[in-house]
Amino acid sequence: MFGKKAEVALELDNLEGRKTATFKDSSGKEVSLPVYTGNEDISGRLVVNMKRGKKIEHQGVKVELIGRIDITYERNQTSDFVSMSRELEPPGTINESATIPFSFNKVDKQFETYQGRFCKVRYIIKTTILRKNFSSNIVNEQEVSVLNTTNETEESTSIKMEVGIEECLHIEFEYNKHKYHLKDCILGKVNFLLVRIRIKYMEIAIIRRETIGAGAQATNENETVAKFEVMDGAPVRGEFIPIRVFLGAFDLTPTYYNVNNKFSVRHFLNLVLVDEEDRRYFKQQEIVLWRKDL
Amino acid sequence: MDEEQQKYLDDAIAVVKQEAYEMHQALDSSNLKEALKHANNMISELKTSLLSPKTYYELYMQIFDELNKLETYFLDAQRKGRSMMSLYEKVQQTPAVLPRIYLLITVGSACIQTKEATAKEILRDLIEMVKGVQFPIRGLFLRYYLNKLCKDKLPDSDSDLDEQDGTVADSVDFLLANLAEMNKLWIRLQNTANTQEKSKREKERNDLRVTVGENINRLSSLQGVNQELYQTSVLPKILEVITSSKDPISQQYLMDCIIQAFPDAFHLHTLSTLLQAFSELQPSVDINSILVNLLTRLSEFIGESEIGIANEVDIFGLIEAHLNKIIENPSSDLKKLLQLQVSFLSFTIKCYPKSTDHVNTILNSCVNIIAKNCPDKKVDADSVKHIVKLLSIPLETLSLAILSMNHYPELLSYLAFSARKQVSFKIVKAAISCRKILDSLSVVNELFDFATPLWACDSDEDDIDDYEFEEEQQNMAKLVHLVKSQSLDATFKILEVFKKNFSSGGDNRIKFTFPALFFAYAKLLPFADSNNDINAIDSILKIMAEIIKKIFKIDPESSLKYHLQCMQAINSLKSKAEFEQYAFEFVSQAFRVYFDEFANSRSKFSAISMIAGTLVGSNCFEEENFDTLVFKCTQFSARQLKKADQCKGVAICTHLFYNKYYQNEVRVLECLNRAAKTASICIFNPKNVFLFVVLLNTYIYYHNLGVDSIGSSSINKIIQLIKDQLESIENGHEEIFDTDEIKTYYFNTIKYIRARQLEDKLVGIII
Repeated sequence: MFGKKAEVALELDNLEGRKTATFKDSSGKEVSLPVYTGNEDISGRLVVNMKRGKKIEHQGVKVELIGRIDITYERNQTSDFVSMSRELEPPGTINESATIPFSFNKVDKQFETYQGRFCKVRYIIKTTILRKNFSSNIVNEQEVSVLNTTNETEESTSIKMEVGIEECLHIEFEYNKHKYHLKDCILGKVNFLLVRIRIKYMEIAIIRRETIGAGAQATNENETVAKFEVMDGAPVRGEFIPIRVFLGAFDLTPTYYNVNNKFSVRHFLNLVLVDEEDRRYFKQQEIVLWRKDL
Repeated sequence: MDEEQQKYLDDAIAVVKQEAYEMHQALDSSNLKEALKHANNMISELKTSLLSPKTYYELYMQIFDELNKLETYFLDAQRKGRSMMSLYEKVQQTPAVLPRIYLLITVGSACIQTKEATAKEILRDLIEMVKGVQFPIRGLFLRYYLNKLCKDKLPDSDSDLDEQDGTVADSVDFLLANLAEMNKLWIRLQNTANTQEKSKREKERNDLRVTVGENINRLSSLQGVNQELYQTSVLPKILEVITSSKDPISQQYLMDCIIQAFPDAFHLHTLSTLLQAFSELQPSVDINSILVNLLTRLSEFIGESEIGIANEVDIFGLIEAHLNKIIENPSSDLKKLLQLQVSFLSFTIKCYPKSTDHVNTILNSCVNIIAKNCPDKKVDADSVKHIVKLLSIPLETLSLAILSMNHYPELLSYLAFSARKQVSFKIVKAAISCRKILDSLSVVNELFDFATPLWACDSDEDDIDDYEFEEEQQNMAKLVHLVKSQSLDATFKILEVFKKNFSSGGDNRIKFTFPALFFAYAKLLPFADSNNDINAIDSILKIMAEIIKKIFKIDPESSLKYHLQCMQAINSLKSKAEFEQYAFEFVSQAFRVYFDEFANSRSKFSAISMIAGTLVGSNCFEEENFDTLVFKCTQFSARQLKKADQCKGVAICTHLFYNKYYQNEVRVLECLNRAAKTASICIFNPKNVFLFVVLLNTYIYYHNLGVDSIGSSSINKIIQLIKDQLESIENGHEEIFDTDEIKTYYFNTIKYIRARQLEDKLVGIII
């Protein structure tokens, strides 16, 4: 209906040269979104192209920035952790084409955009031209993504561990750090101290764990997001097998602790040994992932 | 290859071809990501566990070729600006370990070639990363690929690299690490099998061993691995890999690899290290064959310049001590121990060309070995062969120095008659071929001792074919010609031994040995003569007569020529006058032999020719005696069975009347007339025209000498006769025999006449 009167578009500033990030939406379709950092201003404009001789009477024009968490586990629940609204125009009439700028400055967008299995964090810019009476509002939405880099602050200690099944398998493994940035490389080695099983291969899996809720009601959901074979065949006692995993090869996100009390995302390295009867022997170690740069 | 394997291979190769095709398509459109994906799929075919090593190798080679092309593409891309190091990181994101490392090696090779990274860095990284594949066959081939791809990129002393970019030490470390790991994988292949599959596994391992040994070959081909580095570092490390493995198949093969791969000069300098390592190998390792290889190689290698080394270090002592340890090992078997001693002996002789003591020591060891392992003295056939070698090798270089080795006859006694004879024969041949001068009675006695089977009638004598026997006896006979001593007396004594021993050999041997003995004595005559030692000559001649008597008994006909030989020998003495009676007697004996023993007309003719020929050259007779002999000779010639022989014989006899010492034209003419007469009687047989040609030549001979009574007219007559005869044969309706020979003889004669006529000789002859 309104289309007859005007074409309304939401445009963001400075998109040229801005990084984009690709996410999969719930249907699995990839979408590419412009990337903002947590304290970056988001500015844009609402462009209204009026058709000749038409006018729009409205109750006001506003723009909103919404930070939203969707949990699709068991039952869907949606909550907004950011919800900011700006009045762009008081109630009145738009007679001719106009460009209405807007800007959200200094809004803290602490959570990163995230598309997990059950949890999502999304940022949406939404403009609304409120209409009188029963006419429907003119709404435009644009999703943006927020990615935050962090500095390497703490010392990243190595992970070293000896595990085994008595009289069967005994190994010692070592990862050079426990904190890795997303383009990092895991270096390590596995030392076979005792091998009494016929090992077929060894692989490293990266497991992403979404913890939904908090406290006693919290539930964990694991998902293997990467698999990497590090050894083919069965080693003998005393063998050191090198581990070198370039994380850049995988689609990973940083570790998120307690996203607005709704969920957490953690990562585990799972060292898996598979024997000739396809029995799996594994050991999980948590690693912390962080974003060094965009 | 069985059907099943072929099918697996065909399936795999079909995939490889398809993926390779798509890889090349992607490369052509510069889509590297896609190309790597197909390369990954292609290499993934190598993940199979269904293929036997040989089949796997075929698949590997197919993929190897494709990866070579991929590397070429990488190098090309690098020139166009692509970073190889970033590609090196990128391929490491491949999720499956086997294709990942194949790709990594391929890119790594390109990194070194383009100098984006130093060989040192890449080699270190690759040798670490290949550890990810622990499956024996897959791991071995992967590391084989690594080895192949890096072989021309290993820093070496002659490569123009900065020291920090890599030195030969890095290459050595790289290859040693690869060797050690491959060896482990190779051995593991054995352990993964249950006992029923043991032999199958061993076969598979055998098929795969070259992949492991390749590392040792590579090490040996490094220029920088010189003798010093080899001795101080490379060899001890390889040996550490070998001895620590405790796997007999691996130890056996790799020890052999070392010996085959590295230069013999290195082995010579590291002999003690090698020998030490041998003693640390598993008991079931067949050290013998390795040692045999080593010693054989060294003995072929050692030349003049290396002998010095042998003296610096007591190599002999080292090896001997080591071999003694092996001998003590109760599990060693006789055959192998002796084989080892054979190669040790060859080596020792090369190393210490003059040392009879060392050889004697080895022979002693052999005697001990046999005594210990074979108390009943029944030595098997292979061992016999080795003993024969042990006895004959020293002969080849030391020849009769063996006569001074007390263990030699001891060892010889272990052989059965035929083998013993074989060695004896070699000893005899050695003596002959080195022209050993037999000048001492003791040496000759020992030689006869060693050669007993050849000259004595032995109880365990076996059948032998005539040819072999003849060869043996001929060589025995040759020995007598080696006798030469300072004094006639000493020589006499030595020949006495020969005579005694030869006599005891029985008629079959005497037939061969006595003629030689006869001539050996004959050789002494000129010496005795020059000393005016009439007594010596006398006794020599008596012995010769005695020898002839023996020969006569065995082969009467042949004694004729020995009689004549004696006469001739006397004829050439200064003091021939003293022995005229002997000479006369010898010729008379020859006539007796002729008369009594010769039956065949052909041999009769040649015998009488021989007698006539000998007499022609002699002047040792009193005139009367000579006349008697000449008369007899002419008489026998004229009484040949065949007319043709009579004719020829009489023609020959003319020379008895006209020679250096005696000229009697009348008798010559008489003989010729008689011969001509005989020839004329024979003319009914056209074949006998030959006789006229013979006569023609005889006539011309005397005409040339200026015997007046033989003039051109008689010669012309003969020529005319021959011409007529030949013509009538030509025109004869039937060609009854081949006239070529006669014609040739005739025309050559004519040619001769013509030539003489050009010099104004024989002018009266009409041809």
